[in-house]
Amino acid sequence: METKTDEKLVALVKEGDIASYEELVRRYLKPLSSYAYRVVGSRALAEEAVSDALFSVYKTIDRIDTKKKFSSYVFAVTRNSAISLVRREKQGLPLNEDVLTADDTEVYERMVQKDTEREIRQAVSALPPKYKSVVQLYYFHEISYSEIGKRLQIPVNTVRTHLNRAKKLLRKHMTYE
Amino acid sequence: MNNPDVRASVMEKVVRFEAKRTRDWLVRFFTILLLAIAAVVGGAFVVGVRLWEREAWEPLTLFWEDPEIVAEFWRDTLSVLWEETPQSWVYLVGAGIVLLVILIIGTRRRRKVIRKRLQKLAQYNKVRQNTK
Repeated sequence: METKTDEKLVALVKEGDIASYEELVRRYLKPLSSYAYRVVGSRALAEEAVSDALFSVYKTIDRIDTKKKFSSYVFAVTRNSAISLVRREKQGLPLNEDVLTADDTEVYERMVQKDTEREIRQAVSALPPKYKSVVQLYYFHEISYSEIGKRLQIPVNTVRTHLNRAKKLLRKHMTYE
Repeated sequence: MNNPDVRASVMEKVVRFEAKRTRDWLVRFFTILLLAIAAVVGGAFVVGVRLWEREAWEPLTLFWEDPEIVAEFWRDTLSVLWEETPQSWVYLVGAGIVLLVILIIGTRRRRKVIRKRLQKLAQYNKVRQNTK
């Protein structure tokens, strides 16, 4: 069976298919729970934060832009929900946000970064071979233009042109996705 | 962490929220629909009765006459009929029709979503009843 993307599931929920939301909940429950646990430090609170966040995401699902990443949105809502819960638990005591934010932002950013990285790698592998090798050498192996020119036996200007064209193709590819 | 419990609780909240939201929307929709239908039917009834009482239909028999007479007098006949008509009620009928059209066309997509949502809610309720 074909796996639907998050954005496709969100679109289905918008069309009245509540079961698709259950699929999203199933998909995100575990990562969100771990994430919330890192923020609140308690399993019970993490469960509450995730439950609140997922319900609140559902309430605003009609306003979610399906062209943007659902995962970023759902993690951001969970983060806010977890912080609110910690605040409430501390009953008005000032929250040590520096510690909390530094820690959980790092986790969140790492998750988003991983996602983006995977997308970029997929897009690069779909490039024509002559562009792909230049991009891989320049960005993944951090080799200079002249060194790439020597390795691939092409002039430096051609390296520049290939890189430029590759970037344009990548931009196009990633916008369509 | 007991994930199935969290999932069930989220879906329980979602279903309850959706049931209420759908019910509220349907109540609003049918209230407006009934008002519009009442305006059209009631207004048309009053207009018909008034015209009947004033025997305003009489000049319309002209249209069963010779086509030459029809060609010559149709404007006058219709203006007499319009004068005899209780116009505020005609406007009410018109407003009702416009409201109906807007309601039917404007909520076309929403009604489709609501219909699907109702089916899904019914499925959820069925599953819930079976698991009890």
